[in-house]
Amino acid sequence: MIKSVGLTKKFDGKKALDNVELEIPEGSIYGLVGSNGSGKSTFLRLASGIYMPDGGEITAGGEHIFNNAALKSEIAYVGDTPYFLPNATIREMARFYRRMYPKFDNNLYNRLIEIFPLDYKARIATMSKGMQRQAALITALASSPSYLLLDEAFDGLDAVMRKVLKSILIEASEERSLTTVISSHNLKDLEFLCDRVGLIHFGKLIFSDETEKIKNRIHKVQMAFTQIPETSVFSGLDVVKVERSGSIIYMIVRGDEEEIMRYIKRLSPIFSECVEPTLEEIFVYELEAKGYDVKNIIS
Amino acid sequence: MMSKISSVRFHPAFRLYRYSVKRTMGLTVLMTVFLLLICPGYILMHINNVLNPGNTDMKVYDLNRDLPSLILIVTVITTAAAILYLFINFAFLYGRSSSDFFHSLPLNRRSLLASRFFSSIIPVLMPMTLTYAAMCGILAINYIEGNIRLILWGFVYNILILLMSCAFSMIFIVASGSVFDLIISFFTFNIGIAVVQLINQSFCEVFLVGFPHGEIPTFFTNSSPFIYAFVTFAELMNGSPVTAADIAVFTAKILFVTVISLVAAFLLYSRRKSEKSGVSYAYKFIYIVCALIVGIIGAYALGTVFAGNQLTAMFWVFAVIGGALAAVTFGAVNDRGFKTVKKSLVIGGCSVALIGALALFLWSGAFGYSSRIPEKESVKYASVSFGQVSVRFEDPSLVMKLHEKIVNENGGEDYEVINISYKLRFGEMKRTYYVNYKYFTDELLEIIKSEENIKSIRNSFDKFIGNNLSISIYDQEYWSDSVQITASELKGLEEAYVSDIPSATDELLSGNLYMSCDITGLDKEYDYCYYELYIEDNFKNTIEYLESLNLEQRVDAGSTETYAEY
Repeated sequence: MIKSVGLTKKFDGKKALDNVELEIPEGSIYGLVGSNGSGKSTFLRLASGIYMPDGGEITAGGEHIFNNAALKSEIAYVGDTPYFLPNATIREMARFYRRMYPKFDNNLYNRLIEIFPLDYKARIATMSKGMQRQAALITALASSPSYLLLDEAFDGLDAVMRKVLKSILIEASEERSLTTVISSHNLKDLEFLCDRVGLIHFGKLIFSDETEKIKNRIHKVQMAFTQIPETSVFSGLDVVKVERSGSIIYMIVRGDEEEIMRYIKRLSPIFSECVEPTLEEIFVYELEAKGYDVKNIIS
Repeated sequence: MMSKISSVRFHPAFRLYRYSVKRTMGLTVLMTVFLLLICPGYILMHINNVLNPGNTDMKVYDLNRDLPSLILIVTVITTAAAILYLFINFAFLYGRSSSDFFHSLPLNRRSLLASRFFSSIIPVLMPMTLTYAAMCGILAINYIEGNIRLILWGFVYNILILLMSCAFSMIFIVASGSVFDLIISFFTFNIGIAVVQLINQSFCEVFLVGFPHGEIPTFFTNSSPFIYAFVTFAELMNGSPVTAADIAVFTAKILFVTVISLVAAFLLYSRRKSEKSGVSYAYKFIYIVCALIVGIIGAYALGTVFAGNQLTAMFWVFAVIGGALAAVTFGAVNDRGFKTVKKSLVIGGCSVALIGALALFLWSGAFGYSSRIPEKESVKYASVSFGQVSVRFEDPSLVMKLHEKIVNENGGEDYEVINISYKLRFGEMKRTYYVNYKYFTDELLEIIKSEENIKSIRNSFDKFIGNNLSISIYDQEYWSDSVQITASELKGLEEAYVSDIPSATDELLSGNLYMSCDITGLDKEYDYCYYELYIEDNFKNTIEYLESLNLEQRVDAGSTETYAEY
């Protein structure tokens, strides 16, 4: 488990992370969401032992990460701008990782180079941004880490490669209990991948929970009435937001789906339907409810 | 696909070390070729040219003549290469993504630093060892002579200097945030500090009566590890007598700086924030030290340009302007703009204040520097030089007597020079006084007539070897052509001159000499050497002996030779 307690990081006196309390269970795929400069990358660098915390602590498997060589051999980090050794090819990078990471899996590496269609003899520096990211992912995954930290992992990848990466991560999570933390400023990337998500804004963790729980506690209902009822008739529901378009009412409601639908059915609508909101919509509604200026948080 | 997996699992630090060594392998091969071209390549060619069939005089080549400069060259090249490797291997600290990459590897800071440090040094040791082995190998050739101990000592010194230079450079590497600032701070400090010491020296010469002139002061040598290492190394290798204590002190100082620098670099690196990659400096102290150095140089330079070498009010006005300008310029270069002008102005002001404090300290007498005379018990030996006289006394009484009189007479400030030097039990003490000899005639004549001076004169005669000797006379009316003399004639001249020394008078000090005699020849190193005899009116034996040599007739008979022929 990756756990941060009161985690604080300052750059030139300014807090990039402020008292972050977070728990990421073993084997989970955790999505860390936030706008640019929110502190996502800083958290990942702290989790990979690159940065030294200025306050609080961050541990993996109960051990402090910074300057812990043994623990760091279990952690693979792919930064937002992946670094490669000068003039290195993918093979050379793999050779370097093989030397550095004791659990480097040659079979997995061979499987990955079959999945990702890259020229393994070409210099990585001459490759496109997306190909470079694939190269970084191959070497990081082949290191067989227990913790995989990916900063803006989907940046530059095309739709097919996104899908491939997602399936690889899910498989690794299920088969060998790989704990993955992925940061993204785009919630859609994480929608059907992460079992947990957290939102970070101005260095503060605003929100963190299981994706299913989040989705189960908020619902989007659309309904039509012959005669539009007074808003007060919905007072029995925990309504987050109501919108009207002609005779159709769109409503965001917190609570159990069955109870919500039972309540609405009693109002005799012509039509009523509960639609699963997107993760992005849920975040927007939750944040608006908490009084945040959502447009500036989620892009 | 089958993949090779080593059955032995080395520590990742060792694996990173191997990767780093491989990465600079090309440079190492180039350096090896370059060093082997110098030695044995160039040296063998040079020896072959000297010992060619046309040169019948020399059948044996003395490699000792070349060894000091050869060892110095190898030391400079290998040290520079090791520092270059350090810069290459630690360049990852200055890029955001490279810093993230290396700091995320399964290594702690100590292992990362050690693997990169040793991968910069060990590749240099291989070509270096080959070169020294080649030097030793050359000595195995029959017609080449040389001191193998000198080569072995050179090898040891080279390793020590290389280690120390790299360890000291590590402080700059760790404290900098970008390659640009690393280079700026490295050169600003190591060159700038030497310039600052020259400024200090100039101030000392202005304020401190007796401050030694014409020599590299100890505080200059000790100002930077690089300067100390190479200046002392050159002194140790140049063939002058070296005691075991000199070697021990040099070794101890070098090792001390190495250990301190490594500890400092490690502590700084273990606390260095990875996020400091790409910024100017990871630690501000290096910026402040360099800015102060630049400010001092700027202040002194502008003050001197506008006020000459006089420390007038005008000097200080322009020193303030110069200090501020230099510090602001340094700040603008380092901070990539003029956002920190205020901070730079403060540093510039501090630079001028430091110069002012130094001037004030020196003006106040620097704790009695000018009147200080060592305790006789603490003196191992004393040396004094003035005019043509240069003599060393095991018993320092005569020198101390002269020194006391100079101090009591406040130097009798004039243009004639007396250099006094004491070798103390711990260290040494040197003074230079600009005096008028006439105020110290008795003391100076006592020194001239001393047994030690006569021995020194005899040593000066004894350094000439063989028959390639010639003398020329200057007697205020004419300058004779050079006349060849024999070794026995030189011996006769020596005896005559020495016998006249006890009758020396103040004429010998006045400069109004009856005549002088220049002796030229070769010393045992086959180097040109020269000795001038000051001859006063009552040096009857010398004058008679010179007359007995019939120099004028021998000139007419054509026994002269020009220097070019010689």
